[in-house]
Amino acid sequence: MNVPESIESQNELLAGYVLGDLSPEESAAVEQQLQDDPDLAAEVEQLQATMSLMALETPAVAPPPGLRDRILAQVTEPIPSPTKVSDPAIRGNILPFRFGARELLTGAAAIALALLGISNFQMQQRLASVEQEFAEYQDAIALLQQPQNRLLSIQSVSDTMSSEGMGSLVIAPEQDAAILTLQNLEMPPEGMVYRMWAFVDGEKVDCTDFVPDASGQVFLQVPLEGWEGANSVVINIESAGSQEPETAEMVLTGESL
Amino acid sequence: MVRAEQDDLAIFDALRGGNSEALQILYDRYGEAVYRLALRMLKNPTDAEDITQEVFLSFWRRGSYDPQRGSLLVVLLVMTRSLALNRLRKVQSQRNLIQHCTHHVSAEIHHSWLETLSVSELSQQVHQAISQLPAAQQQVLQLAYFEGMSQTDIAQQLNIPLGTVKTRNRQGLLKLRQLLSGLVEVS
Repeated sequence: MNVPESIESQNELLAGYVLGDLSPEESAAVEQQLQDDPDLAAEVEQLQATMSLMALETPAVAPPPGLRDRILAQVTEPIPSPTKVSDPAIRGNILPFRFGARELLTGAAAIALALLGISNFQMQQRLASVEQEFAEYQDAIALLQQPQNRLLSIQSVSDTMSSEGMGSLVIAPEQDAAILTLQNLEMPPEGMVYRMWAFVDGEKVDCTDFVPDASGQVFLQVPLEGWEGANSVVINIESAGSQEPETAEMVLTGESL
Repeated sequence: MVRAEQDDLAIFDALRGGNSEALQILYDRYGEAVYRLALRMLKNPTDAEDITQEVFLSFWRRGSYDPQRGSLLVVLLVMTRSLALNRLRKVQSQRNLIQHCTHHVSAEIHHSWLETLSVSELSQQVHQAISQLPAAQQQVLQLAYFEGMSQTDIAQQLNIPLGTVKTRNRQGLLKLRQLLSGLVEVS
């Protein structure tokens, strides 16, 4: 493709690039120019910012007041629990990713599209992100490959939930960690979280608090703090901050296979 | 201690250090913008709340952000739109949304008006700018941005040639870019 002669047609091309209406050949040509010319790259950033600012054309509506608290409740530290796992820093360490078959397929689709020569800015960004995630999966896979691992199958025992959560817990004693994978889980009511307890020698040990993502999935790495010998776990819905037994509702149980 | 008047980069640094106060400030600053976009696209407050929560928590959990790639507001809006489009298309991928936020933070810092004006001040400017576009350009831009419609879909729906959609879209974006130059250009 020829480099456009006028600034007008150059700008049109960049606008088309940001809007995603270029042919694969045109896209590739723009990509090439962007790599060579930082001014053009800056122009593309500004066009993208312009497009994003269209979001502010929407009427002013404040989000519901409870939403802020709900979001913050998930990142602020819970009140220290009476069990030995009391330091919030060593409670459940939420892995910076979650995955499901559908998402892996999305990644595969991105790679396939790239191989077909459909090259554009967004796609490259997505590929970079997929590659980074793949590196992260490898850590999880290494953990899952340990020979001493034990698997607990987790099933719903709730009568009140409309959807039945299920999944598994892999305890990897050599790695001092466990991986909890659940799907089809409802969002807990406001101010509540899921809390997992392990049973070790008749004693109940607090493992971690968590909530599912918007699609009902959980993928969580939890440090093994005194419950590596657990043969069963329960998962309750409990009040986010405190541990009052009367508010707990058992929704899932896990048993060794 | 994170103060509300700190710029995006300072807030992002605090956020990366696991400071939940920073998330609070970020939410107070941009929560409304994220919620409004999600509400406009999904037309349902429950879905809009879900998306807003997902955007901020994703950013909290794996936030890496390159200030060279635009302000935090833009990054959050890009994430919101991707998530909302996924939901509109019934592809519940949690994955795609983080596409613009996986770069390393660069040492080079720049400031723009985007960081210094409030969402309501920015909204006012955006309203004013969009109202200066010809109605036909506004219409195609809105269908593409909020409804996620392809140019072909827009051409069919409005019963106009594809080439016309393309021209209106591009011209509209370029005009808007000009009208908003004070906001999007980096000083």
